[in-house]
This record gives sequence, structure tokens and C-alpha cells, in this order.
Amino acid sequence: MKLTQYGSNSILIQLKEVIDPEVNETVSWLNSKLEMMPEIVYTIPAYNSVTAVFNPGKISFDVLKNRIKSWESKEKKNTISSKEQRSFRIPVCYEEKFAPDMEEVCSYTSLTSEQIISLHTSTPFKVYMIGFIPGFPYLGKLPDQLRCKRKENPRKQVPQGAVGLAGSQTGIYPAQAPGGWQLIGNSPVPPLNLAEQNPFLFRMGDTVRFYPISASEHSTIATGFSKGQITEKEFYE
Amino acid sequence: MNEIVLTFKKPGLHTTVQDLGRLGYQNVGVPLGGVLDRQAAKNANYLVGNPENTPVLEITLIGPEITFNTDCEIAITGASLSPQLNDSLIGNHQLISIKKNDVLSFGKPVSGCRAYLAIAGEWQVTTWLGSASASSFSPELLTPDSLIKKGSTLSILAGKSKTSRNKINKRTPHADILRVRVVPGPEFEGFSRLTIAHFFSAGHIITQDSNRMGYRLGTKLKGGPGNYEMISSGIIPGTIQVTNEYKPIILLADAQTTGGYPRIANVIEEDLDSLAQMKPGSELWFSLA
Repeated sequence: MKLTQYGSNSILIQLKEVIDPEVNETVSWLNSKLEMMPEIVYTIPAYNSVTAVFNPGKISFDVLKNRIKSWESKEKKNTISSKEQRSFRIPVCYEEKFAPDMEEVCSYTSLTSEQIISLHTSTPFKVYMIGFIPGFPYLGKLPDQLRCKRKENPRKQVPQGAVGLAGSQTGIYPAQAPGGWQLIGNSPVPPLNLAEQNPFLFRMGDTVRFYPISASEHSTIATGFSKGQITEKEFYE
Repeated sequence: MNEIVLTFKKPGLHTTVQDLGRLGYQNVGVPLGGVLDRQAAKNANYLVGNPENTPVLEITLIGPEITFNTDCEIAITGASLSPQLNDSLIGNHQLISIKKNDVLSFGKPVSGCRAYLAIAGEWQVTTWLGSASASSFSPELLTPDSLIKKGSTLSILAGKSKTSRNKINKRTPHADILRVRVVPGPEFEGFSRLTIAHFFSAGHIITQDSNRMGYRLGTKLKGGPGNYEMISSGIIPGTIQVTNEYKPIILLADAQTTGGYPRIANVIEEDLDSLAQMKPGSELWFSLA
């Protein structure tokens, strides 16, 4: 664990330079401890790092650094209770109209679209971090056969709900945004639902499994959400 | 209480409602947002007797034209954008009494990039996650009142505050060439000596392709990219990333919360306000704090 001063009032905790579930669990654990400290203004947990901005009127960099070091030596990181570990089953329509990059992914991976869908729906993914735009889950890791490059020319507008691949990651766009991920489907379950008091569907550490649906099922679920007849609770496992 | 209504005949170049930002949601990817020159915004609220986190208008280079429906008290701080009340020039950094049907407009930008307009009272604007700051993401949906357009109106309930002041001590300096102090960034050691030497020994022009998310600098740094791929990690205001084209970007309040470009340095907190007053086309130099 490397602790460095980052800017004037922030500490950066860097763990092993890998995308790895255990390393990421240590990030979650450190982040939850930091979030409980009144001296911390906000945190940004990521794959293998935590940025924590502190109030310099309440704590100094050195005191904070020593406190974090003392956690490492004294405690095991099994403090994340099982109730915080949530699992989701999220429907995705992989039909052609939602999968503009399926052909490109097929040729890059030498797989058929059926094989791609089967691999994407049979792998449990972990939410490694939330970033890029509010509520965007970085999910991983993809099976090695599914790894693919980002698009050479990013799209100016990726539609809301789009499910994409990039490197060893997959993700769902919470809103229309520019983006370079390879799009293979679309989910009608919104990762950012402004009708909810807590609008963010996913948290770091959640498990997500995808299952395939038809375009008509997609439209039924999407309509249900927009009318407030369906909530995200139906997708907890 | 008396309702003050502002009507915008002209919106200006980029006029938004901002407060001190959306703290605490950066763990779910929400940009911080909020005024870029915090000292200037706090000064404006101080002058009119508002709490410091009251919203203000952040006015960028070309100001709006505003009609007031009733009497109220205002103050303008930050950039000098030639404010005029009914066609007479007025000054920054003072309490100004507005009368019913007065028109506030702005003229030639003289110095600085962002002016702040505070109005005494409680702002009746939509907030998202506890902040009225215009969201950089889906603003029409999340903070519809905070993105000023032609014909927009803003409503403020006039307070009874009599604590307005007429003096402020600390003002953000404005310059066309500025030296800002930085500390080494997390990936500083990964850059070559040639790159680091170039970074510290040249003036960097702020390009036109700059906004509240970040200042893109025109310099192509010597030395070429380092040879490692970075795993996305946190970004804070003042972080300087170096892109694949080997050009620096200074990230500001509306930047996304994580990024995958190496971070060469961070502008220190004390210099972020004066940085925010730099216009595209002006020149920045970096020195180690």
C-alpha cells in the first residue's frame, strides 16, 4: 500500500497495479473506513486506489497517513458485512438494433454473436468502481475470449442503457453520453433513476449477472420504469 | 417576504447558477461542480450578507442582460466585465442597491474570466444532491434553473438581512501571464526528465477548447509518452493529466471523477482561484510549490 500526498488536501492510496477482485475489496474496505471519518470531505474509490480529500482544518496529511497505516496492521478487511454485498440480475436485449458493434466484436474475437451473448450472460461480474458519468458501473472482468479494443473513433452519442465492452471491462451507460465502448446490447433497467430518492442503482462491490431478453420485453420493462410501475428491487437476486 | 424576479433578456456567453458544489457523491461518479473562483464567490455573498454557500451567478467573459422586477441588493465580484446599471458603469466589490425595473448589463471584458453576481436573499432554484450548481451532465433534467438561457427567470425571496458589508480584504488577482504553483502528481516519476524539464521551463497557452471541465494547454510536451498503461484513478480539481497526444489538461470542478491519463502534477489549492480567472489565449507557467 502506497500512501502519497495528492494535491494540497488529499491523500492517494495506491494498491497493487492490477485489476483484481481482492485488491478491489481492499479498496472498498478502506473507502468505507474513510467515509466514516468526519475529517474526510469526499472519497473517490477506483479499481486499485482511493483518493480521499480531507479538511486540513481538522486533520493533517501525516496524521491521516499514520491512521490509515495503523488499520493495515491491526485489522483484517473482513469488516464488510454480507448485507452490503448485493447481487443483481439485469436484463439485456442483444438484438441487432441495440448491438451496432456486434459484428466488429465477432470479427475481433472470432466468436459468433451467440457465443458472445452466452459468455456475457454466464459470467458473474463485479462492480469495480463507479465513474465516467454519474452511476456508470465499471464491471469486470470479461472472460479472456471476450476482450476487445475500444472503438477507433468514439461515438459522439451513445444511447442511454447501452451495454458495451472495452478491454476486460463491460458497462451500462446511465444516460446518453459520448463514448468509445463496443456496443453489444441495451438494458431497460436504468443505473441512474432520478425518480428514486437514491438515484444510483449500483454500488462498488455489487455482483451483476446479465440475462438476454427480446426487444418486446425490453420495451415492456422500459415502459414499466417510465410509468413508475417497476422498481429496481425486482432485479435484486 | 418580497419575491425578486430576474428576467434574462440576454443570457451571456455561459452564465450558470453555482454554489460551493456537490460534495460527497464523487464515489458514484458525480462531478464536484460549483464556482471556479471560490474566493470571489464568497466575497460576493459576504457583501450582500448571504451565507457563503448561497447560489451566485457565474458569468463568463460576456455577461447577460438582466431586468429586476423589484428593489434588491446585489454585489458583483471576480472578473471586470464592465457592468452597467441602466447604461451607467458600476464597480465590482461593492454593495449596489437595485430599484424596480433597473437593467443590469455587461460590456467589454477588462480583466479576469469569471464574474460572480450575488443577490441578497433565498434563491428559489432546483437543487440536485444538495447543490444548485448547474450539472455538467444532463443539466436540463437535473438543474433546469441553473443554465441561463434567453428568457430565463430566477426567483429569490428577499431576506431581512441587514448585515451586508462594504469591504472585502482578499481578492483574486487577474493576469494574462500567470505562474501557478504545483506539487508533483502521482505519476510524476513515470515521466522522462526531458518531459518534466519542458513542463517547467515553458509558457503554456490555454486553448479555446477549454471550459469548466478543464483547461486544455496547447503545448506538445517533449519526450513522448511513458511506456505504461494506467488503471483509472481519482481526479480532483487542479489535477494536470497528460493525454496520449502528450498535451497537458488541467482538470477543474466539472471534470469527471476518474481518469486514465498519467497525472504529472497538481495545482495547489491556493492558486486554483487565480487559475480560474485565466482566459483562453493566456499563458501559464508552472513552478514547484
